[in-house]
Amino acid sequence: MTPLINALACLLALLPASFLWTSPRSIARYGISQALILLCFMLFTFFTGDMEDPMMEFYPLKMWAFCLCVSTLTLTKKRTFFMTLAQGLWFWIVFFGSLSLAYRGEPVNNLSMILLFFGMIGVQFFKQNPKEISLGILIYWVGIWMLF
Amino acid sequence: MVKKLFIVGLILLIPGIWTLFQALSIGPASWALDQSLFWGTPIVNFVFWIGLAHAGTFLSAILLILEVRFQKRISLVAELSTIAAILVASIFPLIHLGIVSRFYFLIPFFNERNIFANFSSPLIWDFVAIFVYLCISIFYIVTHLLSLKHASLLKTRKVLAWILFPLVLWVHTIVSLDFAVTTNNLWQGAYFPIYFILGALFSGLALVVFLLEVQKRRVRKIEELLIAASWLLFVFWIWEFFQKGVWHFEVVFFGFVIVQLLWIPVLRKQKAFRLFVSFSVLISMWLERYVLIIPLDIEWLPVDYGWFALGIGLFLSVFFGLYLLIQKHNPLVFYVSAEESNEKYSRKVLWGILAGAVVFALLYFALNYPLDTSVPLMNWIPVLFPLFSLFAGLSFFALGVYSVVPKKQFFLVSGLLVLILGGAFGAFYAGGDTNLGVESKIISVERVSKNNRPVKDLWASRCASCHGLKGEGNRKFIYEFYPEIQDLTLERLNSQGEDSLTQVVLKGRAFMNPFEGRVSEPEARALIRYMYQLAEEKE
Repeated sequence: MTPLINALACLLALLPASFLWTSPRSIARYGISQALILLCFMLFTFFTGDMEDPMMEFYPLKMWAFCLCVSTLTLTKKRTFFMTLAQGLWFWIVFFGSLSLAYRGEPVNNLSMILLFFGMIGVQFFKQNPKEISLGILIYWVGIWMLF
Repeated sequence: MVKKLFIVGLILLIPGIWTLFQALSIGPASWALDQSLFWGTPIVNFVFWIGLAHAGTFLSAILLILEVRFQKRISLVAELSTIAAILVASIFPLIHLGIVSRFYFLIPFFNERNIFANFSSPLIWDFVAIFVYLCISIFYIVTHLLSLKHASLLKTRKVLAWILFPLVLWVHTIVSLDFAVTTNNLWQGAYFPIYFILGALFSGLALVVFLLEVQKRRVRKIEELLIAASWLLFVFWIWEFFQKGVWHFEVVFFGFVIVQLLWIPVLRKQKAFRLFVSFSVLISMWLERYVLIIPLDIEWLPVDYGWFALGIGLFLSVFFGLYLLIQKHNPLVFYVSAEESNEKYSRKVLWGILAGAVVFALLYFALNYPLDTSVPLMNWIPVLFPLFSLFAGLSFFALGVYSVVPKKQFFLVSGLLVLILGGAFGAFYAGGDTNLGVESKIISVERVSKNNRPVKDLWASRCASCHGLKGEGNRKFIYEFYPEIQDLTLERLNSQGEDSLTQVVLKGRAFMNPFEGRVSEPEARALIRYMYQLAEEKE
């Protein structure tokens, strides 16, 4: 995937993040909205990505996890808890996705996993998130996305 | 209703036990198998039941962590379903071992006996993960029952829920990695870990809906979760279509289309309809695993049908048996929940135990890794976290129980358990006699000339997993565990001769395991003659 498409994917993942949890809905409707967002990411990956590249197999899931991470910045309650969970999901997707590929002989990028792991620990120290810290965390995640 | 289902379970166990007997005595030849598929229906059923097993405790644990109110209404049923389903699921990998009595070869002991556990084998990963999951699920449900009397145990329950939360995700991820290490393209996908977890959750939700209906209870939020999960899984099926061009209408119909009917209030109010939907989801999830593992048309044998009786029978009898037992002790147990408690472990205790668990897992690795450095580091990963969880879970459980039960009773029961488990540990560590005695007398070389069937069965149970049913070699298995085997040709057999080959079967050679004690000399000769026959057929 080219850096330009990767940047577009980042923007696309950021789009729904801000209004994911704004209006109260039933669990079923939340589920449907998550599924539709994931479907959009899958379609994006399918039409813009090189499907021969094994990394594409979990690319839309990474976009989804990234989107969930950013969406936690809009939460007013239990923000740190959900930030940790969302980063945990991202870490899980990358770690086990890479492990699955490693069994097929594909190279593994450990750096993004290390950064995500430290991100999970790091957010514990920012229980009270002023806007500046939130922006810093957002930049940290975008950095992980763009560079690794 | 509960008693009726318990009796249905017991009745179904009759054909179920017959199936088990057939599978164990004949081996892989007793169920529908093709060389390209290798795993067959036992693994379909394993993945299905382990999915159900994961979802029960997972639902209870994650809802407890998230402090969701309706957790209290479903938790005990969900936890109980885990125990029953995990017992069913654990049967299938054992069947795959061939010699069930040697299951302890899967225990990752140190290398003292020179039978080092093969960390590259998914069988080891599954064994460790499932065993630890079963242990902590038992701790979790026991803590639940005790917390009804002693509210202070809620703190232990919450810590166990935190251990179970990643553990259950880990275990089902490991199941997905079983597929990742194979050479079958259809079984590979870097999205499998999340896909498998979602599938497990979906089927577990359907099971909880069914079990609650049996109790004449209804939790609307669970139905909502069922709809939500059906959408997410539907999207994964679309992704699978993009990835592999695979689309199974029947799976989508039962697992997505039918579930959407829950949006219609008139239908959703009907108990029968809710039951119908939960069954539909269970059928869909079974079919999903079936079409994934067995994508070809293959003729089923009686044992393949028998798995249903075994699985459903064992689940119903264990679940409702335990249900009746618990209810007899406390008739209201399924309808009450523990009082609220804000007690927490001190940071010192919490971090102390967690640090101890990390040290335990690392020490285990440090002591074992030098014994076999040929195993890649990533093959150890599936085992280390369950070991960490076992240490932490056991410590918190013991600490919690110690604080509420009389000290005398605690030391008596735990001492007894240590004695029994220590004895079992020692016995497994020592290992047993490799001579199976009675089994090796069943088939004699004389019968080979009269009737080809017995030696064929012996071949299927002892040799086919590596050499293939028709001697063509099981490439998938060989690829994973051993180098490529030689072609079976008359020329090659003649160059070595019957006597020499019989000795190879008995004593082993290079990567060929010695079978002395497991097959007698006449049987080894019979197998060699059968190989000649296979080579002739081939040419």
